[in-house]
Amino acid sequence: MPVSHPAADFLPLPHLPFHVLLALADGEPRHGWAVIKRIDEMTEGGTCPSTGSLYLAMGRLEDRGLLERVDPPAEEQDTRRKFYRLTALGGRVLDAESRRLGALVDVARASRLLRPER
Amino acid sequence: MGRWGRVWYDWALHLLPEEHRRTVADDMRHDFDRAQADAMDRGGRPALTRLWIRELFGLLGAAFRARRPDAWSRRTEPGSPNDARARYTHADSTLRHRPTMDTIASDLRFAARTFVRRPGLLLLAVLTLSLGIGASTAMFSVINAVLLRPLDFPEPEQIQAVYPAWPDLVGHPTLGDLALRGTWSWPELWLVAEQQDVFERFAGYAPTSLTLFQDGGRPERVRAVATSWELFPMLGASTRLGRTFDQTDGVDGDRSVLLSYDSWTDRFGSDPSVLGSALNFNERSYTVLGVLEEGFKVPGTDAAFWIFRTGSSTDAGLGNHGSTRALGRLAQGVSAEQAQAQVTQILQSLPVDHGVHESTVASFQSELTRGVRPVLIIMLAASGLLLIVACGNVAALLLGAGIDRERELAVRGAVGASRGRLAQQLLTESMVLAVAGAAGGATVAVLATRALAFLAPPGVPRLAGVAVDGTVLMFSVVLAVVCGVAFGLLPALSLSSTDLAGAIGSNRTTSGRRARLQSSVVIGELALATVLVVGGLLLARTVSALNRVDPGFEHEGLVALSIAFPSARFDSGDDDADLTAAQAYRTQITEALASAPGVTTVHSVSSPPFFGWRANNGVAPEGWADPDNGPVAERRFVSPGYFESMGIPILEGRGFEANDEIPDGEWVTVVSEGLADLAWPNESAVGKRLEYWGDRDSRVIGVVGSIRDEDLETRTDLAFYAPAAQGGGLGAPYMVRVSGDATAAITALRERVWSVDPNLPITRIATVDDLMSDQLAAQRYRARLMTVFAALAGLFAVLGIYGVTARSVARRTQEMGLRVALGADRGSVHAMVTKEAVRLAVVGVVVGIAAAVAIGGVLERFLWGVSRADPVTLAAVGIGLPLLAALAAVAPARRATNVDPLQALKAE
Repeated sequence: MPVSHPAADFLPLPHLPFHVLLALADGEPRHGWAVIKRIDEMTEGGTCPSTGSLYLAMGRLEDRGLLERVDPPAEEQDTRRKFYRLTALGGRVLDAESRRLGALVDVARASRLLRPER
Repeated sequence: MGRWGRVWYDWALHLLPEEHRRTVADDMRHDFDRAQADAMDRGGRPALTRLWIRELFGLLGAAFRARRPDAWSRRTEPGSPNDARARYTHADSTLRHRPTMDTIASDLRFAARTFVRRPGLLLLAVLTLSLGIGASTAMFSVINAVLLRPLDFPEPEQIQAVYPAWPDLVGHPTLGDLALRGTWSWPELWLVAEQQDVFERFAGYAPTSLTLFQDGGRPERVRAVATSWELFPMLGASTRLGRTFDQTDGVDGDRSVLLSYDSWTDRFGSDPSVLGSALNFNERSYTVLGVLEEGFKVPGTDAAFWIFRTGSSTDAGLGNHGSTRALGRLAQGVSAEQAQAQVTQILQSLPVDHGVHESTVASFQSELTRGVRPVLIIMLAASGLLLIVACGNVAALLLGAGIDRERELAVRGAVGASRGRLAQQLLTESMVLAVAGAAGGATVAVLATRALAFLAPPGVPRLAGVAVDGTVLMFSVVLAVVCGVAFGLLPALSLSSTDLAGAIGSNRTTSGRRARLQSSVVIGELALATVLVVGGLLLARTVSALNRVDPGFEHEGLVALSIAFPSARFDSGDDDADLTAAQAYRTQITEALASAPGVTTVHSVSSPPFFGWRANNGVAPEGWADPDNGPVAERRFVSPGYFESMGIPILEGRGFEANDEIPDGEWVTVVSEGLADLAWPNESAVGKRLEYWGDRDSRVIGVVGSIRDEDLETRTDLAFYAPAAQGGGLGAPYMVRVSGDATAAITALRERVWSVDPNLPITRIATVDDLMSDQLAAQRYRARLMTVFAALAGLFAVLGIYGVTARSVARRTQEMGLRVALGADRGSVHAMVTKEAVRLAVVGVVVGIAAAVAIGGVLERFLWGVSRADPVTLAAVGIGLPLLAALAAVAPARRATNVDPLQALKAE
């Protein structure tokens, strides 16, 4: 039974859950393989989760109410697959984490640790 | 390849907690399939291998993490302990424990350093694994070549072996397998060929041997197959030169022949002009129609020449039994059962009555391997047991090493490495071992496979094709990965339940549990090794029992030889003159043989013992209730004095004398003890009548002892003898008794035959001792193979005992020192260490013996003269293995007694 919590309770968000939320950020429902592919694309091959890690992470995000399972879209042939979509809470957590990371990056920039790439 | 992926993935999914697995497993499998396809598309096998590694570590990591609370449970659930270390572990496990190529690479470097520091451990582990993986891989390569690989024909699964069958004769003592899988006479075969419509192609073939006469050379006995034309199109045969047979051949009595590729190159120097020339077989001329493509072979035959055979169901001899085998290619949409029904129906409509006639139709491939399948599968299982023992040994080694490394791991844990991360490290180490083991195993397999094929007894089909190919290598890699996970998991799991913090403070808080785990592994090893040792000993005792068996005659100093009697030479048309000339010719040979040095007697016998020639006859003994359905007995035509020379005891009456040799004299027979007891129980057989060959009414003049002459396992109880002159045939083999070395006499005997006729082919010459020994080739091979597996498993298990004992002594140095300091004498310390080793061994052996007896049934059919619960074997194992364990404990025990109490106590 998902219980609602303030988004801040979930911060900092671990690496993989953050990517999962990012992959679903556009609101489209996706199944596991599509999430894997999208993370792979977004990070340009830098991160490609294994099925084992991904489903464990998605299971936990679902348990906490950050993701929800939805019916497959009508055009999908294989109706047995589970599709996942970001919940409102998930959206808020993603937003909060992005801000937190953004703020950290700003700090790093200000300390001249991070220079724009050549 | 992707199929193998699914195999291990499905298996590895079980590592996930049940609840989690239930909800996601289907989706995960689906995604894994997509990922495999994707990887293959993008980067072929290397990419797929990378995917497998990532997925395997991903699953293992998930399996660990899924059983631990995640970060949020502590932060989002009220009342949960806000444990700093746990939170750190969480951050570590989610951020860093996802195995990436980076962490894997660093683990690999670390593993390499670990092993370089402990070269002994590395060497022992890799050697053990190489032998285990090598043995399994070699057995698999044999199974792959013999059982699994499809036959080398187009659509091989459609090709069926077709036999006549007599189901009521199943269980008949002398027919054996022939009851359901008989052979055809050619007219029967033509009848089926003419009437059937279930096979697209239907062909008969009969292996035979022919005498090839060539200009300027001695005539040579060659292997050939007589076949109908449809065999070649059915099997998709192509020719190097010329053509195969077709329907138009043989219509005007022409004889034609095809050459195998090998015989074309070896015998005719690849000369294309052989095409269209005439070859002389059995003094008849055959035209060469073609040369078959290299490598074409019908499994189960070994033909240098293929001669053409045609005919029809109206030919003579419909009721006779032949030796022709048949193959059919199923027509579209017809099942083997339907085909069998139709062939049975055709046979039952036969115009000539030859008993209840049915048929068997079964896949050619499975028929070919039917005889060898059970033993191959048992041997694969045995090699699998050996591999498990090897894995156990490596696991025990690693566990032992883990005890030493406990502090190292604890420190790494304390400075921030998560348990999952450490487990990954340990798994990486075992994977490194596994991969090294796979490489070593492949090397062992290449050598062992050659040895297996080279030493194999005759009669294993398709063994020539055994090779360590891609499939086999894949098998060894999969084995290695499974092993790596299997023996890496134990130390890793035991680590994750270790109190890391506690381990830093002391050097032995938790090692006790790990030592116990190591002991259990060793006990398991011993139990499995015991099963193999019991199996090996039982098979070896079977061979020795068979070696000792008395065949019922004096087998030493006997040479059997057969010739290809040149009947065509005695074919002038004048039957009487021909017979006289042929008999004179035969007498000449007999006399020539008798004149060889050391020869004491020369006899003629229609089927020499263990020669593979048999003739069964239905007989009608006087007073038999149903004379049309008498017992079936083996028939042997022998010359006078045969029993005396062979040392077969004459129990009653007399043997044959020269008077009995008159062809038109009274028909007389001598019966075996078994036949006499069956036909005339409690009565004397001498003077009774025995009908054989339909209506030949003979008088029984004697009873002789039953002998073994087909195989050593079974005595041929039902047999009768008749004088050679009353039907032995002019081409009957000779049985020569020599004083002194029979093997040495063979050359002289051969020369004597050729002194009579330099053109007479000797088809076979061998000592009876060698023929008997050949009978045991298969049993001996099985016993040797199993013994090798058993010896290796035993060695591994004893090494395991040594490891445990040595480790325990090292761990208890202080205790030992204390004992000695408190006055324990060295003998009692020695005894204590030895007792511990023996105790482990006894537990393992008892479990193993119980298991061996329980599953001994699978071996039962390969045992003879020894039961699966043979007390001698079980006692030998029950005493021998613990004794070896005691020996293995000698060195550690000596170390224990040499502990200097002062040093040991100071060490704390």
